[in-house]
Amino acid sequence: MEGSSVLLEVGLVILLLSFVARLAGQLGISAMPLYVLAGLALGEGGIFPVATATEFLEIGAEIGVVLLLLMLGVEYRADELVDGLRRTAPLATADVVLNVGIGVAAGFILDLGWVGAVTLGGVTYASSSGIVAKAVDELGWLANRETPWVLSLLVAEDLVMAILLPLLAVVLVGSIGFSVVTQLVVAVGVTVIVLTIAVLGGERISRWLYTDHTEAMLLGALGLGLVVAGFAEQLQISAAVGAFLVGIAISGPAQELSRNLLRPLRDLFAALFFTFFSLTIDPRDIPAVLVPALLLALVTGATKYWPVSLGLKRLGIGERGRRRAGLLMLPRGEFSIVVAELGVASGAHHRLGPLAATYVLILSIAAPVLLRLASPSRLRPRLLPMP
Amino acid sequence: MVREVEETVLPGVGLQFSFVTSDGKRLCVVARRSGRHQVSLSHPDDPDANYEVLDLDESDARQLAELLGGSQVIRDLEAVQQLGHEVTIEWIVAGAAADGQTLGDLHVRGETGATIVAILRDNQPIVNPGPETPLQEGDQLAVLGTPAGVEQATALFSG
Repeated sequence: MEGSSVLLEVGLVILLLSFVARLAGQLGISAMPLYVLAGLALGEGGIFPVATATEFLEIGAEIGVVLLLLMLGVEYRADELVDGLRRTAPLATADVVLNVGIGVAAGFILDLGWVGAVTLGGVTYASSSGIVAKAVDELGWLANRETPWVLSLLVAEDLVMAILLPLLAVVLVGSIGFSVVTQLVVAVGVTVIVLTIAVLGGERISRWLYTDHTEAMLLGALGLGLVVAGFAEQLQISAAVGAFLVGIAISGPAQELSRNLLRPLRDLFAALFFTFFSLTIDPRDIPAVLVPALLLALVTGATKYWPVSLGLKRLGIGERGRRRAGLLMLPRGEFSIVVAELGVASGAHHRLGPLAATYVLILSIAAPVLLRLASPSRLRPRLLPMP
Repeated sequence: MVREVEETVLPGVGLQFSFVTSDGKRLCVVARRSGRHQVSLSHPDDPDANYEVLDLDESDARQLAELLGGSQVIRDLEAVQQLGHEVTIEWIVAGAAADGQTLGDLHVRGETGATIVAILRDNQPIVNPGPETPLQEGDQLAVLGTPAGVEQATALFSG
């Protein structure tokens, strides 16, 4: 019976991911890189290739992207976005130019073609909000002077990403009827209009959406996220951005409630998304991209570290604080994989997927280790309150 | 005596309030949206980093705030009583001169020995206002002090 074997395989995959997540918890790192590794093991050429669960994982992965971005938007309030962008504008500009620029340049050097190069620019750009926010909290750095700047820069990156993703989507799909320029203008225009509606009209939308009936609230937030993501995809401005903008619009009591309700769903589907992404990558392609991925990680590590460190020096933050802030910005994560997935799905060079996966693995595993080194035990705050 | 409190947004988390204590450390309160409050002090080796000293849930934080605020009012009351005079409380109305000024700007306590223990604005009470509290014309102020002090304060606010 085929039906029961799908259940069996999906169950086994999820069970495996639960062990992986537990291991990540014990190592004190984000589970994301380990899900990517699990995907490599489960894919073609891996240790235990899955056969029948792929279709489910594919749909799960699509929902996973929507939930990842929806939750990211829900985490922020509209005024925090505006404030974050204003406070960090010069730094955020240097960040985009350097990190996107190096990715694109590396793409051309590695001969990935121009779709591959543009995608790689998106992969090397944004730091992982998920990993950084978690690290700040767990290391007890929330009260530090440098922390508001780090979090504001992350917010600015997420907003810039909301503009870059539709651009990327248009470039990747190529022109259909319109000229590419018209499409670019339309994509950015629609995004900016929806963003404005989300920021200004968020309260009204939230009041309409809010109910203290938890099931209705969960389904309402998820449904709205999926519908807008679907429309955004139809308009070729990427489902991820649609979901992010819905998240931003959700505010007030609806924000608090949907954050709690959506989190477990996000954890499940995001795990499927990270696994599915690397499922399509043959691990045998990785050795060939290992050296370029390492070099790229080194260079784009430096182009995150130095601008942040220099920017904070001007604000009077001390040496240790600058080092912490610089290291915090290193990990790339969910956004890089969302972008890489977009590129791979639109037929970018076959080395792009393995390269992006290896690059993200390096930075997302190395960064937490470096962060712990930057927080010597003598100065490390207690992680848990004493019993 | 009056500390300047720096308020910074922590996107996705809540707010960070900090001031420099009299012994030169940075005291920081992280107010999470969930209602949890973390109180921490900076380390002399690294002025930008803070150690968590207290982790309070919403009701703990409220209790502590009430305790610290309340004990301050009692201390102020005792300070006035120690002067050995009669103590009175009177309601006075803030005039145009006080509009936009903070209690700290007006040096009420230093000038008159009297303390503003509460402000009534649009029928909303502000209990035990701090020196950073801005005043508006028409605010009703509960002034605690000696009769002479209260009279001086009345002149200060309505002048």
